[in-house]
Amino acid sequence: MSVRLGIIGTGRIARRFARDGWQGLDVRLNAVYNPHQNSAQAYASDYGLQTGTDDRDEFIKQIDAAYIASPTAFHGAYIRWLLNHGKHVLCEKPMVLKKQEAEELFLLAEERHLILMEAVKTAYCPGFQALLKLIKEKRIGEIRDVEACFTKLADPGMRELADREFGGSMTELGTYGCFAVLKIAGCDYENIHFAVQRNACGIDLFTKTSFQYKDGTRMGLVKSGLGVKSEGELILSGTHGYILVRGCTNKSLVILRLYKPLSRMKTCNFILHNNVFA
Amino acid sequence: MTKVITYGTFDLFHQGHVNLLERAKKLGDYLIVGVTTEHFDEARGKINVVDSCLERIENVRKTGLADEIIIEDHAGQKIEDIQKHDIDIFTVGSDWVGTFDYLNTLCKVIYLERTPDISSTLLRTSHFQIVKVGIVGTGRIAARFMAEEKYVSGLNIIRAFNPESGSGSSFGKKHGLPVWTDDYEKFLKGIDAVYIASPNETHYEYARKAVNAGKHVLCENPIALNKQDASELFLQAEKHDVVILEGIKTAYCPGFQQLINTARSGQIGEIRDIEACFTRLADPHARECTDARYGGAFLEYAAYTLLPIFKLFGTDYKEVKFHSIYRDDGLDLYTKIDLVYDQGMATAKCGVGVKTEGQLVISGSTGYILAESPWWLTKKYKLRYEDPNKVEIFEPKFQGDGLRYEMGEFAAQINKIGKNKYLLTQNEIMAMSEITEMFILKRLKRESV
Repeated sequence: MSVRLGIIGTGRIARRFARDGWQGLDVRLNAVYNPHQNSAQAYASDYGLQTGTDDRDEFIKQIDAAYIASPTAFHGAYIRWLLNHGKHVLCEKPMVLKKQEAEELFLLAEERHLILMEAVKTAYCPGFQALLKLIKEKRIGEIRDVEACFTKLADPGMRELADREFGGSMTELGTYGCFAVLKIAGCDYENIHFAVQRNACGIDLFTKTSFQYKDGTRMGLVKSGLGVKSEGELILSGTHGYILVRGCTNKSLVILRLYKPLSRMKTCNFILHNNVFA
Repeated sequence: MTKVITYGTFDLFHQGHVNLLERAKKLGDYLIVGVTTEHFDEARGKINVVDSCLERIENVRKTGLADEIIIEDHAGQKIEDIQKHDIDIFTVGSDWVGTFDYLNTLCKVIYLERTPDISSTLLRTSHFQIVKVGIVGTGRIAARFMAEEKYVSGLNIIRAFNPESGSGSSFGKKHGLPVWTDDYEKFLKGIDAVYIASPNETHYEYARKAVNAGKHVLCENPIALNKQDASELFLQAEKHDVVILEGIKTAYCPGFQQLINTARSGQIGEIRDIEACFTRLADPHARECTDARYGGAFLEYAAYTLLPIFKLFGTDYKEVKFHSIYRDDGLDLYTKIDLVYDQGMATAKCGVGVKTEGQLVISGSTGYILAESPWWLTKKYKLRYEDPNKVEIFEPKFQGDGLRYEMGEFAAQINKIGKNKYLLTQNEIMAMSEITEMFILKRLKRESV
């Protein structure tokens, strides 16, 4: 029996979600929920969903699992509601903005034998998995630094730059970079430091998050910008070379550069047809 | 009749030129001298030619040694001339050894030994003085300096200094220079300026003594390891009315100036973040990898990576933080310097034991500038925006390995025709020394724990 999937939210990301390739997967997009009835119905008719509703009870009856693409502020409440109704959850990043809340939600999911996943798509890309393999094989020696940068200039009037509590560069874009640092350099960082530039409302236009590790052999840096434009890339620096991932519009280019002292640089280019770094 | 041809710029005409022409003349019966045009010199990478083509031709003519003078204005002309004038011998100075071997199929090629210690007894029409330079240190960088000399007008390297007699002698032999091994004060007599390319910890002492002896100083970075020393050097330089320049070659590259000006022009909006990175996995036996105290990533490359930051944000930083990965003996294999300013932030990265993408990224509110490795010898940079299809590419002119630009500036400042002190200001050098001092202190504290 195919999984009946519901979608919460009807914005840009929710639309991408419906468009993306569901072929071959035993999943049926069944229902969409939005507190605004019109938006829900428009989405449902655009993507051929059976139900577009502002009625939570009607929505939840028709699904086994849900994808949450609402504004960040409501993630926690929706997850709790869905889990309490026995539904699996895939939640857009950032899932929640407090560690304690995340822990509570994961505990709840475990108690109820349900799946709760954060939609950090990098984690599931074959390209990123291939990258981790290169690191594991020590192709660039020991990893000493992981740097990730993701910037996207936002219209000053947009929600991301107006919502004081949940908007801003770090909450909007920081997840991918932090994920890469934590996955590769480890979660056992000792110090974390934020350098922040804010707009007049106090929202961060640009944030540099640096990670220091206890043994002093690794470091990490994540750059996120909604008001600053920079080169979107992931750089893994090692004792024998480095891996550079540059994002293109529809594919990512992974460049592996190996150096040996006193010898010529060796460059291998891998073109991965999956978005490693969206 | 044996016909001989030689070519040259003959800028700042001096006895060395006369000696060369005399010896060329002796090779045969008839001497043709080709004098280059400014345009051709520029195209072949010779910078800062001072005298006009007419003056330079006139100087050659006055020696009475040339039977005929021609003008060289394009690549490939030498072959045409040799054929047209039915030449038997082609000759140039030994600083060009190998370059013109391809003419061997047409005539005989003879490289004449250079005469390093030229006297300036000749009547000079130019007010521009030939600067007699002594090189301190005979390592890798000194050799590169020698190779660039012929592209710069007004500098004449006449001797070298290295207290370790063994290491200097092969250098001296190769470049035809006398090498002093002791008595630095005596070495300084008879020269106008020094280029200091000795180990890092010795820079300051050599520079101080030279300045106090009234000599101009071009010193490889770091010129000093603390702010006090740097400030003392500038004070003494002013007192003795000599030029003191730190050899951060990026600062003098025309392309780097263009990049900085592009960033300042508002094309990427307001500048918010600067990242500059320079890493090179060093030979484990090289000084930067063996000398735990004065080698390492910071002392090797920090000046280059701090330069664009100081150029764009100034030296008035609010906060500085160092993050290093150390080897067991205390040498920093990789160092990140984080700076915070009122208007933005910056990171400088340097490595000798960690390799990463050596790039300069200047991020603004509407776009960014990306200069890929080797951005410190700026040959190319891109302007990019949110729309990935919109890219502007700049490819400024860059000749040789970059040393000639700082050498040219040095010669110009000594002759007081340089007005480019903004290229690398005392303020910027002082700020670099200050940060160097902080870094060394932090490292020492770590060692004492």
